[in-house]
Amino acid sequence: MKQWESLAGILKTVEKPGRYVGGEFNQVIKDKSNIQVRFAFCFPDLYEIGMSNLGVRILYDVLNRKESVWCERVYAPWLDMQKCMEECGLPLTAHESGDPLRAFDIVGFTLQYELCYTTALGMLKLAGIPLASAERSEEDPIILGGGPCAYNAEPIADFFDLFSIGEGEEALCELCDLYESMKRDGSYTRSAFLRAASHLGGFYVPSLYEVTYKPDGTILACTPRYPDVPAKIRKRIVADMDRAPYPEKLVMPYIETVHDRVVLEVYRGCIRGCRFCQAGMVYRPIREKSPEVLDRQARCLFENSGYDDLSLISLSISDYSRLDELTDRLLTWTEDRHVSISLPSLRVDSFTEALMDKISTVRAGGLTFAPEAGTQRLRDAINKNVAEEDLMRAVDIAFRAGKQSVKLYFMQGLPTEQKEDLAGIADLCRKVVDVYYRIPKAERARGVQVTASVSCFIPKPFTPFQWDCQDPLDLLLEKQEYLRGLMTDRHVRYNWHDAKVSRLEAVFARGDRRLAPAIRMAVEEGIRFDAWDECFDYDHWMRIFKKTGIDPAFYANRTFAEDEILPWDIIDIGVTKAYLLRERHKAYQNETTPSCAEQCNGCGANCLGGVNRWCK
Amino acid sequence: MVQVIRQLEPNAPALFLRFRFSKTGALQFISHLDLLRTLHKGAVRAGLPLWYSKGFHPAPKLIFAAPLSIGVESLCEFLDVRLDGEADPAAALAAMQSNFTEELQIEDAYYPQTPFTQLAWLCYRIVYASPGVTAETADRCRAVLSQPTIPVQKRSKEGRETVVDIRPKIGAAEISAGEGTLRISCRLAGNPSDFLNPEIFMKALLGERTSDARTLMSERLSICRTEALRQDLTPFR
Repeated sequence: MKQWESLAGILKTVEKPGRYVGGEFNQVIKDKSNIQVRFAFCFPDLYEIGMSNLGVRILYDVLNRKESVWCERVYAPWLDMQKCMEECGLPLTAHESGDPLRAFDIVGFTLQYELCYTTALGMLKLAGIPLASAERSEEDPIILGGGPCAYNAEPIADFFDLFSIGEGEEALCELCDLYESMKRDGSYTRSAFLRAASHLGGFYVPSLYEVTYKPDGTILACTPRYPDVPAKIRKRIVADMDRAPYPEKLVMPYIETVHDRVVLEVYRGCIRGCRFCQAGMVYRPIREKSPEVLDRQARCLFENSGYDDLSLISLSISDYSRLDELTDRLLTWTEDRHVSISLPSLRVDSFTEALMDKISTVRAGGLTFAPEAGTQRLRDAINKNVAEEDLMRAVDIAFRAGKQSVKLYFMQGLPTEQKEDLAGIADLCRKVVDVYYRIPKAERARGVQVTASVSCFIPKPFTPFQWDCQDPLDLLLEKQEYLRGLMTDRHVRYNWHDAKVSRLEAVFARGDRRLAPAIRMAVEEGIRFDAWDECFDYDHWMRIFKKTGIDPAFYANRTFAEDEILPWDIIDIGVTKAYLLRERHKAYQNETTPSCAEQCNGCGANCLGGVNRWCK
Repeated sequence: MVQVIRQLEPNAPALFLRFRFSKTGALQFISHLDLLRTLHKGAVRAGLPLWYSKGFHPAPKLIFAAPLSIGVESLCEFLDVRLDGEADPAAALAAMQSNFTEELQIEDAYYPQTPFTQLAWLCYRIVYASPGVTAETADRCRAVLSQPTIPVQKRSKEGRETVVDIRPKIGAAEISAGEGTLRISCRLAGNPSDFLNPEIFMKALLGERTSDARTLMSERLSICRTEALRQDLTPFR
């Protein structure tokens, strides 16, 4: 039965039924009788979020290129739909076939942010699949996790059979091949499969490791249970991005999604090394695609999708060494076809008038920059090598080109932060407004709006700040209040993130296996969609931590010792711990580190190989 | 790409190409606005020579004949697409057909002779399957229809409650019922300025439906628009 038919009775009673009907143009339908491995690719959030995710687009394409594999999509139903499904006893199903998740061989979740954990487990619950790995039988699907949160998956280690560490293009295909061959020769059992998967490289099977703790609560050891199980799991990368598979078609959503456009991945990795940034470390080494390949992929995707918006993405787009060549190539055809090009993740120091002209040829919009900190001292400490002059020059260009709104991203609660750093945020915003007023009236647009969006620092695994604590909640709130008092300019709008959400995220980010009972209780008590304001309930979480005997401050607000065994030490991202420590010590001296384009800083990621122009 | 066979003269009147299409299955749950975006993207994929407005936000022009609520299927939808140059309708049709799923079938393409204002009636085939339906249900519906007026509560966009008589908007209705299934064929006012939503018509006949999920799953209400007519009951094209 098609997905919409199995839900037909209730679809008209829920919000946005288009989320649940499937049947999109370009979806992949295969004949079940020829399929050896049925793969359910789950995105633990709403359809309109998941459909925009580039990772899902890439891996859906990669897996479906394999003849014996059928990869389908699954999204989390919103609360109204979940309630209806529970009332009617309807299990969670996949979009393409409408088959229940239980019928699949492998159920994979992409874990994009920590606050999706309850939603992911809620999906298993709705599918009628036992939550804990140890509770699942031979008939249940293999539950796989991947994505950024897999780098420290310890808090959810009990619920997943295995995690894919790093880039999945090749690894997932190998996993499917292994599954197929073990099923074919009759050697398949869950435990035999998981054991064999641990040998593939890039797969972490939590049940094959034992974690012991010291009396003070820190980790004593994380040891493989068998001699053949690797002591460390090295992340996988795709060596040559020009040859890496990239989708030629996109599944076209009927309803509007959050990033409803063609997304072109320009390169992986980042040359910068901001000390708070996990992505900047875990996606190393940097590997660029060539303009010829990108132009061909963009044109192909445009023709097969009809999207009139083309977004060039990467961690810092203006660091792409051949950006001019790429935009020039694209502009030869995009203007005539009414396609606009957008460049998120611009850095102020490489933002030029010529670039501004190129992106404003088709569509107008605001501009966003991320100075991250209010003073040069703190920007140096976090290694955000951005000078105030660069920002002022960039906004001057933007205002002269007729832009009215500029959005600035900052973080509060960064290690070494002082009151003057917070005051610096307000100063910087005011100076941006001043730049606008210094431009002659005739050369600027009418009215100016500067938005300062200030998030709370969250220490993340595999960053130089992974040992540092998050400010206690009271202090975070006090700092927000202090900053609000300073934001007096009527042209400056101040947005701040909910500090309680950031605190929970910090608990999960640096958490270990002992968090599992709390996460399970949260799922059982109906907690879902923690990243959504209307669902997030901090007090409920605190009650759960209390009941399960967990001190959230142990994870969020404790400075980890530099010689402590970290929950994620079992993973090898290429970048060494020695490098991260070096960077941490430099931070406390307010010392910067040059970008990979200037010199090699010996982070260690080049041991992974990869075709690139920066590391040798 | 669909070839332009004749360029338009400067200042020539706007040129629209009309498509007739069906919207069934999963597509019935896609809103008007989302359908518009879907058709636009399909038209771009098909390479139609679309006309775009000038200025900072160039936008194409696509116009529907009549609104279609969520949950209603249709075999006779009309879409006018403004073109930048004359294209061969057969070529445009073929290009469009390969760019949608079977639930959005493009049936025909031609340069229209009739404006949408001449669409007067829309015919529907309604099947209501529910354990509660008996032969008597049909009698009850007929009794409602035999009234000289059928007042219906209606909420305006501003939230004000008004009472509207829908009797004049009902052109014809045939009703039959067996155990568990009620079937209705009807002709309802279809002009955008004087439009009767088939769901309001059904509500007038059967009353408000339950909101209980389990009951709803045990029932099935399918409504399908089958034909579009002019005032003289000849087919609208």
